[in-house]
Amino acid sequence: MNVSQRFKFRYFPSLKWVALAVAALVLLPIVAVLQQAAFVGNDLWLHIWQTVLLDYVSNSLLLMLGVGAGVLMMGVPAAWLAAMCQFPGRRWLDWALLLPLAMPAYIIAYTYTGILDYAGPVQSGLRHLTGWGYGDYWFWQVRSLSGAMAMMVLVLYPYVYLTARATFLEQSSVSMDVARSLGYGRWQAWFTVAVPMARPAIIAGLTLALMETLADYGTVQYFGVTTFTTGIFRTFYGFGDTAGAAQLAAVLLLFVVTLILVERWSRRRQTYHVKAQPRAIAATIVLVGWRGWLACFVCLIPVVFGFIIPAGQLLWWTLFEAHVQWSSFWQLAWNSFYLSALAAVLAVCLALLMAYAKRFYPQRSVRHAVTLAGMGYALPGTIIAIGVMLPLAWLDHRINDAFVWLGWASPGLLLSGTLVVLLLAYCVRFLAVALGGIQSGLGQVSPSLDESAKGMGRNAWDVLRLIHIPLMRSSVLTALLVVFVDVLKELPATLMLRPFDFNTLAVRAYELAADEQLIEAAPASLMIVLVGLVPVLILNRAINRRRRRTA
Amino acid sequence: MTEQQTALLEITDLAIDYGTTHALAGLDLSLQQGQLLCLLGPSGCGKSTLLRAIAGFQDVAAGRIVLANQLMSRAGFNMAPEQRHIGMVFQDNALFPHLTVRANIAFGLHQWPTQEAKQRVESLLSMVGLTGFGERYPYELSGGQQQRVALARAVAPKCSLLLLDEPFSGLDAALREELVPEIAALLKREGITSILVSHDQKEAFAFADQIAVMNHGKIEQLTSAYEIYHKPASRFVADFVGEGDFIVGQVLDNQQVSCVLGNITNGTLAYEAGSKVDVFVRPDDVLHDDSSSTKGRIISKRFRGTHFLYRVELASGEQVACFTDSHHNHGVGEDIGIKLNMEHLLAFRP
Repeated sequence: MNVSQRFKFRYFPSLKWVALAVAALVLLPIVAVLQQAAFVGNDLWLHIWQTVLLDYVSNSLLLMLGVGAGVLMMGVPAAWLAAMCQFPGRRWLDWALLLPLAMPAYIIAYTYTGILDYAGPVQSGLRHLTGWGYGDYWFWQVRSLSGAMAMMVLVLYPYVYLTARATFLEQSSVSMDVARSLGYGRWQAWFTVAVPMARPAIIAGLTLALMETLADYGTVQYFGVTTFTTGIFRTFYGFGDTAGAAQLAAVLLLFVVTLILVERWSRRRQTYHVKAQPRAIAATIVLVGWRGWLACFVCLIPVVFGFIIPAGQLLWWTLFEAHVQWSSFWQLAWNSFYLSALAAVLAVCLALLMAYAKRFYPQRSVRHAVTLAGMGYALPGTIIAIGVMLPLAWLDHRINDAFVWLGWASPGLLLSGTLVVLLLAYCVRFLAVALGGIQSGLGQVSPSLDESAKGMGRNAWDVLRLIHIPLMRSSVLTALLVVFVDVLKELPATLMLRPFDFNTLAVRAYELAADEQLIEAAPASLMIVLVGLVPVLILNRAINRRRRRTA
Repeated sequence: MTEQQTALLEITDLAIDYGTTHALAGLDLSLQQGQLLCLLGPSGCGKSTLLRAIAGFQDVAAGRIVLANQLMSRAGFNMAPEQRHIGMVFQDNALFPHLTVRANIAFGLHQWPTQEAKQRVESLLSMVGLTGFGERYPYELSGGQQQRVALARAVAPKCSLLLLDEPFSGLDAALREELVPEIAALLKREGITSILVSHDQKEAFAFADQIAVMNHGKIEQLTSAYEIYHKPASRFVADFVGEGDFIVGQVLDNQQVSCVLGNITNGTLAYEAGSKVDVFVRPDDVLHDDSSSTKGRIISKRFRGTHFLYRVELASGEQVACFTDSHHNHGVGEDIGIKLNMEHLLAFRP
């Protein structure tokens, strides 16, 4: 241990400070938002409070309530069926239930609007069949609060499904047997044993889904539901009122912090839920006859409505109805690609620095820094956008002042008006994603491997070259890919921070949808969904591999 | 097996199929009130399947299971586990991690009046020696304590029969040695009829009044530990229970067998004179004696503190094991004198 300590200090003396600096970077937007929110007059706050805040709060809460209930109802039964039962189509549905993860909420919202609005195929078909005209019948208005709930449930239930399925698989089937030998019927046992034992994992998945709900901008904006994110955006972008936006962001932050605390609390309880070993005998309850088909149906609904219908519609529009201008489409795709790739490389590099800092300097400060760096994911894109914009704009002004003082020409907005601000925002938001992948990869490189290599006379660079790089390659690649896709799908921060005249696929889809050109938005949307499928497939493969190992 | 009216558990001609393979076939078993039985056998012998069938987690293909004169299972009928009033302790103790010790024990008392349930839990806590541990969570207990809670939980609803599915296999050897007789004594004292499943003969000996040695879905022998060890009914039982080797012998008359270690005079043989048999030799049947004319070459040796266990190759090429006290220290490859000292002659048809 002594030998390795000395070797670390000689080669990476400043790594610890790098880690602390990166953590500070993640903390920067929060500090900026709070600072801005704290130092403005009370009358503005009073104005917000009197006019819109109640609306924002109630809509956001209702949305969370609806989405929360929906993802539980969709995710938990499907997870239990997929984990514990045998029924027709289970193997296929098991991974198909993950597919909606590839579908950003705003895209599914555009698609269902196209399908379900007055001119869409469903209502047209209905009128054609019945002979009704405009105003003769009632039809569900998808562009509403309930519509926003439905859209988010359809794409966010996989968070609950994933965590619940994992915990049902780990739960030894014996627990159910115990309950039955103590006089509980099958259903009684399910509700008194299986569900309560899975509760911490389900809560963890639920809070993730709710964080995404709070962060959503595209869906609620398009559906005209006023929430915090639309409010922040409008105050910042429409009225140019930074302080007001910051104040709203601060309130939103309160919600987020509450969710983080709930998630932490549920995971703390989970520590004693870890069973000795998951038993090889998966309690497969064989569902035959109508029960089997019912189970199949229950699992099929989320897949059909969350992926097959919207993806199919997007494909149809792209192939047969949209007028694609390929040259401008490829320009958009290229913009999205290089921006996402740059952000991915940057985030993964920072994550590598953090992970190695924690490995070499497992001191409290560094560990806290790494935990803090993982918090960015909980921050909605709108908060991050404001939080990075404010300090960079301030810095730009100081730079301009300096140039003027020196008698030089003003350089313009070097940081806040370029891709720099965007990349910084992405890093803050998605560092957690990269860090998760990298840390689990590095966790598999046992420190004893380093020591045994050094024991054989290899130096630090040999250890890195011969052991770490080969062993870490796949987790680094996966982290790159996941960040890449997340950036590609990201909408609100991109919308707020992009340089003038700079468009990406996501922004273009948003603009076209805002102009009611839903069909023209399809090619860009489809592209985002297809790219989004890649990490879903990787995730599925990783889960299968893990399961095969435990079986 | 004699049919008795007082038998608590009566299993007749039981068969269980997994797809096309027979897990159990033609199995009979009866158990008296208050007895402790051990189902002993190698993995895959069907002992756990039998236990799960008694508990009601496994359908039967033929035969019947009757508990306290009430039909539990037959082909096409399977009383639900929750209606059988059979307690069960599971392999990995399966305590509910989200419940306290008290809540775990009270889990099966959901239909009891609150006050009675409370008293029952307290008396069970003191029965298993865990008074004062009621508010702890399972993860705060040691392995042995967890297992005792699991036992208390299983017997809480006053079951008529207790099933234990290898409950000690997760514990370390020292703890097992202490816990098994302790729990057996407790069950005896409380008069709880129990069936233990185990693959460990030491555990079986320490626990049970009766041992049923199982192999290939059948009970090979059902009797006391002493009889199982000294009068195994089959080659399999002899080989499975305790250490030992088979060597070739020739039947001389109805009392004598000759083998490479000399003539053995003991017991009454059911084999014709002149036929060949396999004689089962346990390590404690072979004594080290320098004056003996029978020699064997040491192939390997293991030091076990109080004694050595030598493996010895005989002139015929056959091998036997030999215990000597630990002062007789010989090297591998050395020839030593050995002689046979057998109390019970065990001979089986080859």
